[in-house]
Amino acid sequence: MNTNSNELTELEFRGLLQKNEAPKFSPDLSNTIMEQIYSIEAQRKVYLKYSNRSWIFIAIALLLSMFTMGSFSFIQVAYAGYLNQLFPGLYDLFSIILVILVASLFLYQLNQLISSFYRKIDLAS
Amino acid sequence: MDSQYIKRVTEGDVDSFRFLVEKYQKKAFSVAFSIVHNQPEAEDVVQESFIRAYRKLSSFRGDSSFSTWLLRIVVNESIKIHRKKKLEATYTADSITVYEPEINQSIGKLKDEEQRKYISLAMKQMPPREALVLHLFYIEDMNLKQMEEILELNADHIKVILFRARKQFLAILQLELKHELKSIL
Repeated sequence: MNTNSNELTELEFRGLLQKNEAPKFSPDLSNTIMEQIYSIEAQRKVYLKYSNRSWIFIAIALLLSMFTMGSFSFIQVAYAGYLNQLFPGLYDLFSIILVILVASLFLYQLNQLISSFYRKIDLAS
Repeated sequence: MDSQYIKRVTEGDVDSFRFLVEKYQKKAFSVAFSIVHNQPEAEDVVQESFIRAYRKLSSFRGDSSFSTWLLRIVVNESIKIHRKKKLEATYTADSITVYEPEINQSIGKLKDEEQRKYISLAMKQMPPREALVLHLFYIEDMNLKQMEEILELNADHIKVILFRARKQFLAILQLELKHELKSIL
């Protein structure tokens, strides 16, 4: 309680301030918010789908690259011997095609992964 | 009650978030409005704040209540919006002598609609921080501890702002009511 007669009491001041016009908001506000939440959730699922799938493809691509480039030398020798037996030079031809395919697949999936990652950052900002 | 819904949301039940939105949208909106003083912008702030809250819900540890945590996000978002806007001129009412009881009498003689108009006008001209402190303390009826968490200021600092804000609000209101006061004084 204020003792100074030139001051309003806390109660009087509170009463005065509570006369403030309550601001009104759109009745659809909660629906708009929930629509955005559903949209974020849908995009998050797409992102997860892409990122999971991308990592599987990238793993396969790396494995195939190592296989083709000779990281598994024993398997490679047997594989090369078998192909060249069928047709001389077939192993080289097959390797070039495989490297191009693997590189394309790798770059495509990497692009998908990065795009969805940046989309996520964009949504978050 | 809130914690059950929060748990459900973090477990993947998106629909449970609607309960939290519907429960706190009014409070969030009025806090945002006390800073930005504009309906569409306050709605944008509320939307953005709920989206941020949804994204960060898994990191909500429950140290404070959900409403306090949410309102802290609302305050930060509102300040961000307010900073982007060109600051409007506000009254520098510090040096004005205020006759508080006369203001109360004067406003009491006006019709309800006019009272609300003048008080809203005065609130809109308050600096955002002072308006927010008044709103949280006198309208939302929050205690200093809750305000400390929302504003990230200590209680003594809040008390100083509160005291200054009260004086400033009454000075602005007095200027607004100048014509009405003349007939009384």
